[in-house]
Amino acid sequence: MRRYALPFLFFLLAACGSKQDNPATVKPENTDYLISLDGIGPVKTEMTLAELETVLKQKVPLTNPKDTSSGSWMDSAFIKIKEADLLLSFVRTYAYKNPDSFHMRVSDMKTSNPLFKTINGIGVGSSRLEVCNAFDNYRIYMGPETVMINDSTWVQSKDLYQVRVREHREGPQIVFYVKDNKVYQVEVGSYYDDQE
Amino acid sequence: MKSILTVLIAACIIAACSQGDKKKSSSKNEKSSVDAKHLLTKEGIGELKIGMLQKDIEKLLGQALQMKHAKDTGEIWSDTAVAKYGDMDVELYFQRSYREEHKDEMELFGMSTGSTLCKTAEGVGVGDDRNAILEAYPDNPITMGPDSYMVNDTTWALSKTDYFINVSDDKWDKQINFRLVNKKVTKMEASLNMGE
Repeated sequence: MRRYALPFLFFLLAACGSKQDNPATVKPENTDYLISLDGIGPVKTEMTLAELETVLKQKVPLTNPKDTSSGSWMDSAFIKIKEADLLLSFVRTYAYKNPDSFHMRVSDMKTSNPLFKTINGIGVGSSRLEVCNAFDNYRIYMGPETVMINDSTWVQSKDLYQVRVREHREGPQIVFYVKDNKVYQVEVGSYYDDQE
Repeated sequence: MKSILTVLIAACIIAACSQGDKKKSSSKNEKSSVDAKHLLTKEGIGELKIGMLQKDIEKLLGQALQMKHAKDTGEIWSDTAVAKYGDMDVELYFQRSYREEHKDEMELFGMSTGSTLCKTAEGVGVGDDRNAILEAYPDNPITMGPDSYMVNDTTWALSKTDYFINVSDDKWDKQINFRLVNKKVTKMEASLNMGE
């Protein structure tokens, strides 16, 4: 019995030391599920629809291809990366050289699937503090979401929170949507001052 | 007897581990009482409030302020002064008022201190780390990141040591700014929210 006492105590000490590791900080197994400032998995912000279809090796049907009233200025598509869903937003981009010529390009993408994680293991399920600590050298803009309570009044949400991570004041960003101190959705896109 | 001793030691280790976790997570939630003169809010420090005129501050402190650029013969639009208040050195930031009722008078638009006496109502002060601030303000809009510095005429880089955390509220009028060096708060400010 005595000879097991010391190893048992070491085991307990090790267990105490390691119990703070959160499952949300486990690193992604491969780049198919990697979240970065450039995009999610193989999908990158600014990709054209044609480039996306080449990368995915499949057609990507847009949600509103027959909308003629709005001119389909923007559109969206659901795709699957292996087992996980990804919602893509597209915006029409005009070609400089060819009049009336345009293509759709990816403006942002969203997922609620916990398989997708950043290189530091941050994803759905991570806490606000874990997000901040994982992006130590980045600019972070965070706060409660603004919600519309009637036609003329906006207030700060009491339970919805956003953490926006960027390298600079403007440019690519990852948005972590937080509820009850847990990330429930991740968006990758970009922010420019004239957008708001 | 030996097995009982082993179980008792194990129980002590487990209890100590869980106590350590509890202490860590609650340390900043317990608001410490701060002397009114040493209390930093977004409005100011103690009785020193943003919007006060130079003459009102001099009356409060019972001394004339020595403005840093008092001898500058050019047109002074803003200036700073250091004052002793509540046993703290407080740096005062002034700008010229254009309001009709106080035209051309110097008006306080911000202040800072590196004194350990100064605390926020949440108990945050000089020496605390970033996580203490994040835990103290779970619902506030926060902007934070490494400071930028100019490498040469055309290049800016992110500091590896200097960091800022600006805490606002739903009014977006004024804010508390924490300046950190090597991950510890070295200075705290109350200032107008000027955006970026």
